[in-house]
Amino acid sequence: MGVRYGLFMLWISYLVCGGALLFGRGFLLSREARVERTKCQPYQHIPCGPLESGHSGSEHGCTPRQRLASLALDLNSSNRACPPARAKVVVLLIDALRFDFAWTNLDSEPEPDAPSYTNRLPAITRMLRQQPKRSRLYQFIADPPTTTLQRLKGLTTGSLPTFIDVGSNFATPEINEDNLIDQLVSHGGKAVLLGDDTWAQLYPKRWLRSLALPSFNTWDLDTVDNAVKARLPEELEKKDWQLLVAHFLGVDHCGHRYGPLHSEMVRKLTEMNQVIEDTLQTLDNDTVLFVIGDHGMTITGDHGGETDAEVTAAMFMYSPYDLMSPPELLSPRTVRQVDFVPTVSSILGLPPPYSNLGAIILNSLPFSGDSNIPFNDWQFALINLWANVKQVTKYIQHYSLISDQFPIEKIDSIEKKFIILSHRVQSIYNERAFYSFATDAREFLIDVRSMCQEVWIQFDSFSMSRGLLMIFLTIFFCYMIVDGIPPERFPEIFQSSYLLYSYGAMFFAVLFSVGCYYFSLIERLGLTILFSTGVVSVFMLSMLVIQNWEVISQNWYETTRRKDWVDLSARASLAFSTCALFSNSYIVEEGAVLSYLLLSLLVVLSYSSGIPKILYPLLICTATPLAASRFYKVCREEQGECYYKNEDTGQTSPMHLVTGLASLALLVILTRLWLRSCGNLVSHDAILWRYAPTVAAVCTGGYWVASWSPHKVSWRADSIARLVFGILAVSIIVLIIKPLSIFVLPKQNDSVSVYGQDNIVPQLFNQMKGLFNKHSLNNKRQANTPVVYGLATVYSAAFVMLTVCVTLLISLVLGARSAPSIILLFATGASMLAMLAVNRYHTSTSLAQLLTVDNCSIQCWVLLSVYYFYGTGHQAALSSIQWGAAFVGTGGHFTFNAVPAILVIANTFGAQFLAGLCIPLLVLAPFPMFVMWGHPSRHSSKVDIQRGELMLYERETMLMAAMFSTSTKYILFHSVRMFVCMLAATVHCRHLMVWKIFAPKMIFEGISLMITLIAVLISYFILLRIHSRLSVFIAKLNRES
Amino acid sequence: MWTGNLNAVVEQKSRASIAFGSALSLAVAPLLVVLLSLRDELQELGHYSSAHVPLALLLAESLKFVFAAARPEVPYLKDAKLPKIRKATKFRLRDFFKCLIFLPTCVGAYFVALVLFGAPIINQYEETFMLSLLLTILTIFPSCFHAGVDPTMSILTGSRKFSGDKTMETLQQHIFLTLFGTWCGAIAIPLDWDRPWQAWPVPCCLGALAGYTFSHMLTLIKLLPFLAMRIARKTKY
Repeated sequence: MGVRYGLFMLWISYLVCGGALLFGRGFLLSREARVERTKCQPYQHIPCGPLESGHSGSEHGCTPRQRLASLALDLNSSNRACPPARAKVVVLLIDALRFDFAWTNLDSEPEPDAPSYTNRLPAITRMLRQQPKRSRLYQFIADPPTTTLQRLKGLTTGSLPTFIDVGSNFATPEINEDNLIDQLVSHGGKAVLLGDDTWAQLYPKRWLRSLALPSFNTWDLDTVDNAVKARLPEELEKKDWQLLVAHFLGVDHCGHRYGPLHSEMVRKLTEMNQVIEDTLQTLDNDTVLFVIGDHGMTITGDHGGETDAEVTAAMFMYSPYDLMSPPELLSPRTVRQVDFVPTVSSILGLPPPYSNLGAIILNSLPFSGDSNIPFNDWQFALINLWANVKQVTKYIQHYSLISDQFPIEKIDSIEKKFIILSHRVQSIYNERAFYSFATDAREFLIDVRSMCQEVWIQFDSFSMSRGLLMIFLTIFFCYMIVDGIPPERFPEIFQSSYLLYSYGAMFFAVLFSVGCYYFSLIERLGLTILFSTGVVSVFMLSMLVIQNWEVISQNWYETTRRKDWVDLSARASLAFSTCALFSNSYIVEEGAVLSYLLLSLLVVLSYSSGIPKILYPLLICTATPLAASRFYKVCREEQGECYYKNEDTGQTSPMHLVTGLASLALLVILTRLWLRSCGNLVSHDAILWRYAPTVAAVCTGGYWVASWSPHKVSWRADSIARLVFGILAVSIIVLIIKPLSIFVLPKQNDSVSVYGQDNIVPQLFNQMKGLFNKHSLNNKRQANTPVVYGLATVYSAAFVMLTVCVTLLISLVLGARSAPSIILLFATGASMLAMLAVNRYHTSTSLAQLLTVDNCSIQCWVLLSVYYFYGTGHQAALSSIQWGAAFVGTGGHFTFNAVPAILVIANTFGAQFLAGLCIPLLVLAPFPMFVMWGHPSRHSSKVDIQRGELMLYERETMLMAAMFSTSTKYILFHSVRMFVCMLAATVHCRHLMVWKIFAPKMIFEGISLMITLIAVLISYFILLRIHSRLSVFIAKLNRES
Repeated sequence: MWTGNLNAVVEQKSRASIAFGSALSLAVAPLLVVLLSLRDELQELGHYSSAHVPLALLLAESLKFVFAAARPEVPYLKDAKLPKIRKATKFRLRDFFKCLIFLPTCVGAYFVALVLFGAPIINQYEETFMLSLLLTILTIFPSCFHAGVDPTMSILTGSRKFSGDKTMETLQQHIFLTLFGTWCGAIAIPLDWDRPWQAWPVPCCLGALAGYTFSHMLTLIKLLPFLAMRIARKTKY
């Protein structure tokens, strides 16, 4: 019976996870970052003349001019040499410079109703008129996500950055892919940075000089711009750089604050116009100027999405030399932002970066002023273009080796086209042939880029909507079944063959998908299996609901007639906590919001319980650790001041060490006292129960001290940590194999003497009482009735032990600094369990009611588990993951990648795991409470639970049904949060903050959901295990007596 | 019909004083808020410099109490049949001292509760203190003086139900709605609008005042039929 419930939970978990994964697949575009570099030798090092045979001896005599000439002759080897540089480059990056800010139509009169921002950059237009051969203006199309960080990445690597670039460094935003700046630096060039500090984050230590200013305050329009403006002329005077980047933020900030139509925008644009004008004045004879915007803005001034207004930036360039003017087809008015990289690379004489996908913009290549270059400009362009084509092809080939993201046919056709081009390139001897070749090469490059774009840029709305639908329908039907059908009817439903048919149907769906795959009707097997089983499951679940519709509707009708404030507020808090996921500021402050809601719910509960005198002290016991855990919270970047405050306090101080050790000691001592007074530590088998937590705690303390002390004892510290892992793992395994902590008193013993000992208060169940009554009457029968210690708390004791072990494990991984927080979770959870148990015991009139955990308790538990994610010092931001956890006990040497991953997950989601493991305790709690303290109030209770948890053993079906309903509801409540996170990410997929707040939140929520599912299932199966061992034990006992 | 029996008389009396009190609160609380916002001092609500706000409210509440106490007692009331109500309305010295001890305790209790709910502990105690003072004046103070310390305690702990007792029900409603208003006020704090009035504890103070006003408005609306009847009676004679 119990196993069937377990299977059903497994099924639900599968559906929920499947929905989440399906959604994530469509939403979280990922790309692997490659760390290879394009290499080339300076052309001075290449051999003279055509590369026919080993001329290595006779090369010393030739001039650079001759060497260069050989480049043009053998193009296929030419990309081994760096092309010569043409000019230096100044990039004025005006953040959010939309195309229509820059474009001015001087020919016609300005329209009277034109927006106020038009015609504010006359410097650009003037140059275009005066120097049409030397200046260009393009529509500069950005690839979404149009956020500054991603755009800068795109503007320097020439790639299409996605939200998750697999293989890139999560902890810092530093770019490890090949890029323009690194190429420049590695070829001995120098770069100077002025402005936005995002550049400095992306490229630390690459700059000759940098003036990096914080870009965080989007309400500050002028500080950064003024500082840059002040430094710019001075830097332009100096001649020691090849690349100068000046990043102005004012226009973007003005957009965020006031929108593009505000008069402030006019002021900022006029200011920018002055900057451009001044720069043009001071520009020397071998410097090319680029004025670019990294993205546009919507009419409200936001950006991040992919509307036309957001992606259409402007790029203006001016060169002191004439620019190439190829035919119309090769002189586009619209270029992509990735095209910027190869163009600038070729001007600076660098090879295009390894993962570049852009195509050189031919009509913005300046004629070279260097008379040493022995070939025509078109030959020069050809060398660059061909290097570009080869690099892109190589990248795609390498990438498709490690990933199957690209369709195979597409790769084949790319290779074919490349071979054709590489034959053609050998036989280009005049300009016309070059232009014809260039047209095809350009087409080829665009083709490759659009293929990558499909894979990396566009949301897969099909997967997203199906994922959302799947998770929603699962939650919907499941909640109807679990909440609508009263628990006493569960056995009937779950014993019927209906569920077996469902599993059968799922099996056939899998078989069908595999069959389709085998006959190659479909391409992606995993996806099809997920989809087909999802459809079948949802259908079967809906049928189950329809079958039981009568019961459900009747039950719900009855519950709606009861006016229950507590239930109402539980629902309200669920609604509120999930709606908060739609707001970015609430996600940022979610930790505080959740503890607020949890405490409010508990206050309502204890106020309306009718026994406030007992519940108020317990409430304070719950609220105090909850409030104390605030000291362990960390802030995220968006929280400004607080974030910078806690940045420098990464060190563990002796004070932290002392609190950590004290809290560990407290945990071990208190739980040991509890178990001992429950009589669960008497057994011979319970040696591990008695000593393992103590030893583990002592060793953990030793590890902290050893790793804190300044002397290098790290290898010893690591072995201590491993010892702790070992001890705890062994005790958990033993716990699962031998979950009963009961002790049968040998029959020879005089039971009276044991009973007289007051220091161990043995918990004897009812038979024991009967035994004493009969003791005087019938001495003979006494020998037959066994005396068993710890039977009244047999279920809960195992879970207490398990949670202690897991808590110790998590505190080791958390480290001395934040370990007390997980112990605070333990304390909050324990006192909350007491509150809920007392309240339930007080209100219930029958055993069935006592076993029914109401929605409020479950919601409290959900809030607790989610809150303590923040309470243990985490935030839903990728940058706040505590990677240090991976070094606990491993010392940084990983044989398997799984080990550090597990450690980091245990560190981050430990609270959720612990809370999930405790779910059976929600059901069990009244029994051990009663056994320990008796009646919570003087009211004579209506339910008799004298015999503790042994009663539960006797009412197996009730216990299992209650356990199932509680666990499933807990899973569902967590799934609702996940669903809302997914929905929020979908709704806000054009939001400015989507990649900073909503998407990370969704990822964290998803992982935490999976951890919760695993924990709940484990706890349920441990319960089953205890139950089955108990039945074996009782059967043995009965046989003996 | 109001003079029909004893209970009705008592009820009428308490209704009259309740109506007066509600009208007064309804005037004072919004007036204070309007004045503050006109002088652009809303964000000062959490500082000692704005101590005149709780003071004004204190004055208003005291005025209510004086009004209730100074009403000529209905002769029947001296009848010994209603000791409880007499005790509740009659001002006694012992009660006064009890209140004097009880009120500061309540300020402290509110302070602790606010901290547990998430108010900053160390650096913003001034603001938290001001809010707990305001809450005490809006909730505990009136109920203390109108009903006494022990009934107030039983309202706060929920250990007794007051069905049928108009004064107590009204007091309970005031306390609940004021606290609920405070609770709701906190919703505005995390939002990233960067407004000066979003600073702790201004939204909670405003929420408390809004809840208080709303509660009194509700009471007055409930009493409208009674007031109408009274006026009708007065014009008749």
